[in-house]
Amino acid sequence: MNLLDMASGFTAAHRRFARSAPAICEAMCLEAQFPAILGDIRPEDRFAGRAVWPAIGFRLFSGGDSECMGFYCNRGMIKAELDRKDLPASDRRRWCDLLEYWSPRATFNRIRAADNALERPGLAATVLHGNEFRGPMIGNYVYRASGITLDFSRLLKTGIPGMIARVEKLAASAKSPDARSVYQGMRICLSVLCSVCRFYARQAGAMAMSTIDSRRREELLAMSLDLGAITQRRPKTLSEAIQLFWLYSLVANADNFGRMDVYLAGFYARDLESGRLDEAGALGLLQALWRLIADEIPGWSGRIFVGGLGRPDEQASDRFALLAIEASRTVRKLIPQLSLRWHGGMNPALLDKALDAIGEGCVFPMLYNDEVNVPAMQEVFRVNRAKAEQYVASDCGEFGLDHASLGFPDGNLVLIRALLAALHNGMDPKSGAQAGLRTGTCEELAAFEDLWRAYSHQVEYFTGVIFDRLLPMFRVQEREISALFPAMLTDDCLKRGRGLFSGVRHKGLLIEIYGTINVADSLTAIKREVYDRRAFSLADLVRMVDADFAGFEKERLLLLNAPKYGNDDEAADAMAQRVYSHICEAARANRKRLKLDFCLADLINAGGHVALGREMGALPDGRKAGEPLANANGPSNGRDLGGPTALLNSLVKLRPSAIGGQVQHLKFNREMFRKSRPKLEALLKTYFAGGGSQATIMAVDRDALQQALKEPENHGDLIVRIGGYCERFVALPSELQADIIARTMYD
Amino acid sequence: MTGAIFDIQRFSIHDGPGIRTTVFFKGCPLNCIWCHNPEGISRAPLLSFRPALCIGCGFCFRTCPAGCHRMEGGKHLFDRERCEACGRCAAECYPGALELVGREESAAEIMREVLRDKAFYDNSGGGLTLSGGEPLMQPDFAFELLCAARDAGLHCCVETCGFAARAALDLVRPKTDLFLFDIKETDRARHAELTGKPNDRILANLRHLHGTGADIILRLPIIPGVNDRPEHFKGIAALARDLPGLKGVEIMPYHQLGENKVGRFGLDQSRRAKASAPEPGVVEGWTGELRRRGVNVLTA
Ligand code: SF4
Ligand code: SF4
Ligand code: SF4
Repeated sequence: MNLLDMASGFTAAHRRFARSAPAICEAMCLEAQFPAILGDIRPEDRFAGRAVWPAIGFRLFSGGDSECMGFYCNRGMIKAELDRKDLPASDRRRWCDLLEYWSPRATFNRIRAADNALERPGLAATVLHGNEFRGPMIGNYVYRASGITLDFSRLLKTGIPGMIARVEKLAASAKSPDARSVYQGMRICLSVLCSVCRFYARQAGAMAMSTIDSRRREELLAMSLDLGAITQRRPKTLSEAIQLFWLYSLVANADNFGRMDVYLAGFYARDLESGRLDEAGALGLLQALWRLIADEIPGWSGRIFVGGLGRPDEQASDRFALLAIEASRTVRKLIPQLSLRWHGGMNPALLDKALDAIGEGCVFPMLYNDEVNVPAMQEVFRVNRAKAEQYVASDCGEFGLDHASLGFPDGNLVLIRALLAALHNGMDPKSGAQAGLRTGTCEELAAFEDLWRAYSHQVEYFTGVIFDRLLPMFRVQEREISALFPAMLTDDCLKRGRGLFSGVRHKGLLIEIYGTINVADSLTAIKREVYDRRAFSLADLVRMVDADFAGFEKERLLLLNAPKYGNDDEAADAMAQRVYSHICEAARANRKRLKLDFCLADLINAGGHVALGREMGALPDGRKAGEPLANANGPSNGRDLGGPTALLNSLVKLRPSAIGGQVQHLKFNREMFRKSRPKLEALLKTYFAGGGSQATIMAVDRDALQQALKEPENHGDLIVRIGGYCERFVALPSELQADIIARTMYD
Repeated sequence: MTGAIFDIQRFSIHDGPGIRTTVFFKGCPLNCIWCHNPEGISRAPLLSFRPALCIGCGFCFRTCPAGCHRMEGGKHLFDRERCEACGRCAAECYPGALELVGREESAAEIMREVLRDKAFYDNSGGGLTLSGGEPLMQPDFAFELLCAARDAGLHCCVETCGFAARAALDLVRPKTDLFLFDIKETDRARHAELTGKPNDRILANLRHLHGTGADIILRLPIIPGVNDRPEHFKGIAALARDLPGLKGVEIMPYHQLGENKVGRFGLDQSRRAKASAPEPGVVEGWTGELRRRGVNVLTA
C-alpha cells in the first residue's frame, strides 16, 4: 500500500469512530494500521516483525521526533511528499485534506494547545518547549511518552487466546462504561495481533515455497508454524515465545524490554531439556533477535535486563543470562543495551562472562548494583522491598519498576546556568536580559551561604516551573490516549479498566540535569578563593568569567587547581554531595503539589553536556568557554587525577536515594581484563560494596588511545599500563604515548 | 617522625599482590643508568621544570630569592646551580611548569591517605608497598610506617635494591610480608658499572634475608642491550637454584619514562643508557629463556 492510501485508510477509521469512546476509536485505528504498515520478512530474519512507520498513524512514541506521539501526523514526511514534482494534483489535495483534518486532532498539537493555554507568569515565560537551549535558557521541556517496560511474563504465560478470554471476562463484568470500552478496545487489539500473526504466517509460508535453500526453507516453515501456533494457544517453545514477544513489542511500541531472563528462561530450559534446542541453537535465535532489535529500535533504547534479585527461577534465569551476554558479545551492535544486575550472592559465572565480553571491547553488559539500587528504589517509588527488586532502567538509564511505572526525562535543567544566574543577580551576562530571579548583587552575597541561598532559590524556582509546564501533556495523554497494547501488559491498567496513562501504577516526571558537577566544582573554587582566601572578590570573579578569563590566566589556573570532585577530596566531594542532594530534593519536593507518584532529577546527559558546553561561556571552576560540561555525576573531564580508587570513592559519596537515573563510565586498558582480572574484579566489588550504583565499563584499545592523543583534556581518566605499572595516558610523554599506541596494535 | 617521600601512588597493581598504594621514598644509594625514578635518587627535594607548560607569567622571577629564573630573548632560563629547592617559585607557578618534588611527611599523614583505599586492599588481598628510591635508606621511618600499616591490618611489601645496612633490613623484616628484591646485574664488575656500586653487599643481604625465611620475589629490570645477556640470565638461574625459598622472579621490562624525567630535573644525561622499550614478543623470549633454565618466572 502506498503512503497516501495508508494515511487515508487510517484517517477514515478515525473519522468513522471519532464519536465512539476513545479506546474504541484508537483500537479501530490500529486495525487500519496493522498489518498494513508491516515490513516484509528479510532473508536474515528468524522472527517476523518489521515496521515501516507511515506519515499518519498511531504510536506510543517515537523518540526521534517528538511530534510522533499518540495520534500523529508526521509533517516532515508529508512535506517531502508535497515537494515531489511528480505528485498528481489530486494526491496533493488529498494530503492537504489530511493535514487539515489532523492539525487540531494530532496528540502533539493537542498538547501544544493545552500548553499554550496555560499562563506563563513572569520568568516562567523563559522556560519553553523544545530540546534546544537558546540563549540563556535555564530550563526547557519536551513532550514525550516513554520509560515503560511491559509484563511479557504475563503475555507468554497466558498466550493470545488466554488474554482474549481474560479481557472478555473483564468486559462482561465491567461496571463503568469507560472501563467496558477500554476492555472492548483491548479485545479488538488482540484480534489485530492475531491478524498480524496470520499475515506473517502466510508470508513466511509463501516464502518457504519459493525458497530453494533447504535450510532457509526449514526456517521459514518453522516460523510460519510458530506464527500460526501462537494465535491458537500459549507459546511452548523458545522460538514461539520470542516470536510472540517481538510482535507484541512491535505493535505496542515497547522499545525497552525489561527483565528478559525472567520471561524467557523457562522456555529456554524446557527446550534444552526436551532436546528441542541445544545451546548453539538457542544462541542463534537470540542473535537473530538482537539483530532485529538493532534494526528496528532507536539507538538510545533497547534495554534488556538480566540477573539480579527477585527472579522466580534463579538458576534457569542465570543460564539464560549467560546466553544473552554471549549474544551481545558475538553480535556487537550498539543495541540492545544489555544490562546485568549484580548482587553479593550472584552466580560468579555471570560477572566473569560479563567481564570477558567487556574485555574484548564489547560495551555490554552494563552493570547495576542491586545492593544499592533496591533500597534506593524503595525510597524513590515508595514501595516495599519485593516490588523494588523489580526495578529496571530504560533508554539511557532512567529507573523504573518493571511493567509498573511510567516516567521519562521530559524536562531539562541546566544547573550551572542557575548558578550563573545567581552570580549575575538574574541577568544573562551576554544579552543583559532577565534570565533568572533577582537573588542579590555580588556585593550583597557577602558570605558563601548567601551565594548558596541565591543559587538554591534559582534552582527550586526553575525546577518547579519545568514540572508545571509538563502537566498539560500529562492531562492530554490521560484523556485522549489509551495506548491499549502497552496498557494490557502494564500494572494495573487491566485490573482498573484504564488506558496506560491513567491506569499505570506509578506515574511521574523526570528532569534531566546538566552541569551538576560544574556547579559543585565552581562553588568549591569560589568558596576557597573568594570567601576563604579572599584572593579576589566575587564581583571580580564574575568579571573574569564573563571575559572568558582573558588576561586572567593566573586566576583561572587558581580556580582550575582548586580541589575537584572525583579525587576523593573531602571538601570537593562534600560540595558535590550538597549540590546533588539539593537538586534531588528540589525535584522531589514537587511530587505532592502535582499529585504524582514521583518527581525526580535524573543525571545521565547522553551527549547533551557536550553540546551545551559548546554554547556556554567560561565557568568559575576554571573551565573555558566552549569546553564540554562535566558529564552527569561524573567528574569534570580530565580532572580526576587520583586514579580509579580515588574516583570510585568519590562516586559512592553521591548516594542514589532520590534519583531517577545515573551512570558511571569507567575506562580501563584492555590488558587489565586479561592480565589483572582478579584485581579488576576486586575493584568493582569494592566499589559496589561501598555503595556504587552502576558501572558502564569500557576496555580501551588503540582507537581510544588515539582519540586521547587528539583531545587529552577529555581523557584525563584513561589509564594504561606501561612496563610494570599503570599511568594516566595523557600524563605520559608523547614518545611513550606513541609507543603504547603502536604496541597495543599487537594485542 | 617524618620521612622524605616523593609520591604516593594509589591503585598500584604491579607492586605486590592485589590493589595497593605505593609510597615512594626519597634517596637511593645506587645510581642506575636506566633509573625510572631519577628524581628519587637524591634525598633532598628537587625542582622540576617543564618549559612546555610555562606561560611566561613571570611570577617565579619575582619570587625566587636566589634569582634563579630569568627571561632572555623570550626564553625562560633556569639556573639550577643556585636553586636551593625552597619551592617558593613552584607555589606561584599556576600552570604547574615548576613543581617541587620531594616532601617531608609523617607516618600518620601518609597512613591517612593510604587507608582511604582500605576496602580495596581487603577485597583484593592488597595493601601497602614501600618503594623509592630506597626505603631502607630511612629504616626508622620505614619501620614506623610498616608498624602502622600492620596495625591497620594491611599486607606490607618492601621493594628494595638490597644495598642497605644489615640492621636496616633486620628492623623492617618482621613487619614485612613480602620483599620485592631487585637484582640488576649478576656480574660484579658490570653491576658496579651500571649502578655505581658492586653487588657483594646486595647478594649477601639477599642470602641473609632468604636465610631468615622471609618471603621474597626477585625483580629483574631487564634493559635491552644492557643486561639482557645470556650470562646474566644464567647467573639469575644459579642464584635462584641457591635460594630455593624464593617465591619467584618478575621481569621488569625497561620503559622510557625515566628518560623524560632526567631533563625535567636537570640531571646528568651523560651516564644514561641509550635504550628503548623491548619490542613486542621480546619479554616473552626472556621469560622463556629463564624458564628453560628452571627459573620460576611470575607473570602479572
Ligand atoms: S635502585 Fe632504583 S631508584 Fe635507585 S637508582 Fe637504581 S633504579 Fe633508581
Ligand atoms: S611561574 Fe611558571 S608559568 Fe610563570 S614564568 Fe615561572 S615557570 Fe613560567
Ligand atoms: S625552588 Fe626556591 S631557590 Fe629554587 S628556583 Fe624556586 S624559588 Fe628559587
